Amino acid sequence: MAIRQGVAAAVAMAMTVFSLAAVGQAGEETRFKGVTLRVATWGGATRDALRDYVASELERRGAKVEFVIGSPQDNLAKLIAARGQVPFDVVEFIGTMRPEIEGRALLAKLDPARVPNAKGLRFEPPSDLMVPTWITEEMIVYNKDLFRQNGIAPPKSLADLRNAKLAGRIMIPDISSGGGIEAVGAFALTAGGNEGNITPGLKLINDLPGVRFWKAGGEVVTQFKSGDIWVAIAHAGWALRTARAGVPVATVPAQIGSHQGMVKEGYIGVVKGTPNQEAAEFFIDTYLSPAAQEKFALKVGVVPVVQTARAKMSEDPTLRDLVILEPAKINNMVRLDAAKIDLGKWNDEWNRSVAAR
Amino acid sequence: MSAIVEHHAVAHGLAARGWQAVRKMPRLRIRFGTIVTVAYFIVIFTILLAPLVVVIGGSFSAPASDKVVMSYVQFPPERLTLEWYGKIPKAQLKALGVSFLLGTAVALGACLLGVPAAIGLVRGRFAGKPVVSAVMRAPLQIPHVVSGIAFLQLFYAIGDLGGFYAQGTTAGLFIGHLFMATPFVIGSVAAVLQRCNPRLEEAAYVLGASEWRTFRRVTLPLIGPGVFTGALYAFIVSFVDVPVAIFLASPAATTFPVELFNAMEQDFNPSSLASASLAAGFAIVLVFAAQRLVGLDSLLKPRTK
Repeated sequence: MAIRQGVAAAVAMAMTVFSLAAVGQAGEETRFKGVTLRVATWGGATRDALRDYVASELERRGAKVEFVIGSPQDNLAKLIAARGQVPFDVVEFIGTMRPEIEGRALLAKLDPARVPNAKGLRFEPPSDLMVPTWITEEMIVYNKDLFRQNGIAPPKSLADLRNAKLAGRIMIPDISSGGGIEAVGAFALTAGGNEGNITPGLKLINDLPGVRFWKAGGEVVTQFKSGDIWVAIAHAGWALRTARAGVPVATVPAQIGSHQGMVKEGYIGVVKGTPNQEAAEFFIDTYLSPAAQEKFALKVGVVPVVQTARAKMSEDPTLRDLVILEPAKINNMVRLDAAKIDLGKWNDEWNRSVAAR
Repeated sequence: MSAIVEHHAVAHGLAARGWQAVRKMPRLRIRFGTIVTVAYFIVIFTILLAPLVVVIGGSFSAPASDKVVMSYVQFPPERLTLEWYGKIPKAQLKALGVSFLLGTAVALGACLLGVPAAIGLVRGRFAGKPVVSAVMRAPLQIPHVVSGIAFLQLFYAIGDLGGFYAQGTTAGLFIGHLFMATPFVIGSVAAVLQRCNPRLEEAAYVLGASEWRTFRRVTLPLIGPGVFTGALYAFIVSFVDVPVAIFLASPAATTFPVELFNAMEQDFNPSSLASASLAAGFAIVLVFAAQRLVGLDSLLKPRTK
């Protein structure tokens, strides 16, 4: 009798647990039902990776996710033009845009309890309006074989590119391209300038023999592959693609004062006034999960901000050779002080002294 | 004496041969002109077609080794493959459809607005006609990116007043494209209409035709080539636009150039060349179809009688 009662109690308990789990599961499946979340981000691989590894988690919970694709500058223009309306719920942007976005008070505060994966992420200056989602490492990428064959020593600094043997074989980003601001900043700091005075950097760029400029990273891979260029300034993701295209490239983080290398940071925030704050924060938290960070980084060619994802990536020998994944080395890279950058002035000076050559 | 005669004969013979040579000169000139013309066309066609050849050729390119990941343009191809056509992202195919439908709608809309406007500008008599004409052509002078931002601001302002925000909708993008495309229809129709004899329309009225019948049976056939040219331009303006679409497009209906532009900035593989080749092929088919159906040659024929 006692045994029968015990079995019955166990069955009842199991059924209760199962029912609660089922109810919980059903609740989770409908958590964001009826929500349409609009995410402003880059197109191409970035949008595809976010759709596959991040938005899918929201859609599994009943939400619909739409992507507003464009450069961060285009999306910022839309946000400013909206004058308090909400053209999208979530926006991705780059570190150099932080002062303008913060100054215009365009973002809502993030609830740390709803974005637990952001805990421990270090970024300067700290803010409760945004979190970093990825970094790119702006590197000197060079063809090892061609450098060796032509008796050129591997470069250590951007100033080393001022070498007559490299005439017509150097490619750096145009100021308007991804990584262009960081490259100009790196040249300025190398040549004794700073964010407020880029003139020495532009002079150094003008001294590079026969320098060419790229606007889209794909050009770097194509030019390396055809042998037209031997060295480029590009982020490590493009070096990785070049290596996978069969070109024997190596990367060097340029010596800039006491630092080695320069990083560009990608950020994400929730647009002020959105009715979908919770779903937006869920999106961001999923973006920062180690699994999504690793998959996103591999697809897009960036470096995760979450250390566990970086550690997983370092298991790949090609990645380890071309991309810096150690926290200490990443922390030693230069981050431009966006507050000191007057982009209009930078563009004017670039147009006058570099583009007008 | 005979020496003199012989000398004269020789001189005459030389003169005759010289004259023959001179007579041949125009033919030589024609040949030289032909060579210059052919060379000119070769240069022009090379400039026009070389990018297309690289794009289409690159879309069939496979790497020499299977270990190589193609994230670059390879022309001429090391090996040939159709693989990239199978790998065109769905988003790009969908965007191609969106752009085609939008371009068609814009072409039709621009004709509906532009044809009456052109008739009014050419046939109408009213004060301030040059000013109205200049205003109607003004969109051609405005950089597209400025138009995009201006429409964005306008749509927000209208939305604040009326509650309907057109930005981020296909309707909003349609309006933006209509703004850019309509001047092309006005320009091409007005150009044709100016060469048409207004007495033909007057004759139709005298014979008792209504205004609508006169337009349908007399004016429209006369301006047909201009309408077709304007519609084709309007379609192209809409189909290739990036700056306006970036600001106004709906997230659910991104246009092909925006999709392609963003994809190529972020990452690159020849599937982008494959989708661009499809778009180019589609354009070529469209032009051939137009040639068969309408006869593009007719655009060059004067229609003044």
